[in-house]
Amino acid sequence: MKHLSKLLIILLLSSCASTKILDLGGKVSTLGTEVSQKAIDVFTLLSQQADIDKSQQDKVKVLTNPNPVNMPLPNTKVADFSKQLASRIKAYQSLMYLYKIFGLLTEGNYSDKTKEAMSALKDSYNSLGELPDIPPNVSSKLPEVSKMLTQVIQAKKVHAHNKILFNLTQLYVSLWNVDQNIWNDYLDRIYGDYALGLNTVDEKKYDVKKISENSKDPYSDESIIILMYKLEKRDEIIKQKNAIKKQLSDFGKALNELNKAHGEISKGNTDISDVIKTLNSIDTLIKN
Amino acid sequence: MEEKLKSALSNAIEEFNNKSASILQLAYTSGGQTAVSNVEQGFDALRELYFEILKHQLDENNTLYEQLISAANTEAESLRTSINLLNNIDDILNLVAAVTSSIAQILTTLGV
Repeated sequence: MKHLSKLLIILLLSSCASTKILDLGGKVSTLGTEVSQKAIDVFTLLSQQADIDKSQQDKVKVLTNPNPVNMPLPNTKVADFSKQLASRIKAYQSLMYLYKIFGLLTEGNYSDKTKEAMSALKDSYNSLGELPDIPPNVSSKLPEVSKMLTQVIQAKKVHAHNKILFNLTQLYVSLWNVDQNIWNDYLDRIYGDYALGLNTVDEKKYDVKKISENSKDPYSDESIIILMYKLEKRDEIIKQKNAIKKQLSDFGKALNELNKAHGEISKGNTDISDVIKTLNSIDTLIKN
Repeated sequence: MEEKLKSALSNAIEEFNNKSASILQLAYTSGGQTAVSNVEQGFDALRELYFEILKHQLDENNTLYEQLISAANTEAESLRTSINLLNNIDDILNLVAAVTSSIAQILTTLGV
């Protein structure tokens, strides 16, 4: 009886820690799915840039042509990155699928089902008339003990799979860090060329009266009005580029934090408050 | 080498962009719309080459992405095994309960 009490105390303590680990595992699985979705959104955004670039370059060609009256309609070739994007989208779809399965491992219904199964087993045993019934004090604790045991097993599995997810997401982080610089160069090219191209448009092609109608600036000099308009357009283009770059950067940070959370959960002595802080940071980054 | 070429191309593209109005005007004066189209095609070719370098740099990681997909799928299978283990605990307990219940019924029927 003394040994049983000791065992119950150990199990109770392990079970409390296990419940927290399962809870954290559940949250990290949800956020892992959301980070994977964010990656797919980022790649979709990047896939739209080729058509945007084509349209922008066509516009610049019309605006910079010395005599647009007899120019042929421009048709800039689209720079197709679909092959490069496809392999990346596929990789993050696999990661999302993985997080969905990982979510199943952290569900609480396994321990409840074990508790029910143990109750059924206890009832079956007690129905054997020839054998002595299980003592009531033990009998009442059996389903709870089995539930705790399942939770401990489940938590151990969550620890072990977090170790694997830590190693896996570390590879995703490394590859993203390389890719991000290349995508930034891509965006700089698309939006930089458009901004510079518009900047060279001849002053004579602008309707100063129309610009003044839509402007609150107090200038009367035509050149200044046109230059201020060009500055405004350039700032708009840079703002648009930086907004996309921020999406890329936030996703990278979220992926990095996700990796950090897996690393902490995979440890034997998980710092729960640290993981919660990391998970909150991921949540903020992906919802920006 | 690739980075050097990329940087040189980038400089050339920016140089053209900064002076495109005068370059295109000069082309038009000397050869009309055909000359303008030729200059634009040359500029497009520089940009296409720049994008090809970016694609090549991205392609360098393609094999690693393939390996990641494979690693993620392997881990998904491993997770399924863990989940099955948890389901098996209940299955075993339910099976033992069913067997015990059957034994109880047999004993009752036999009047043991």
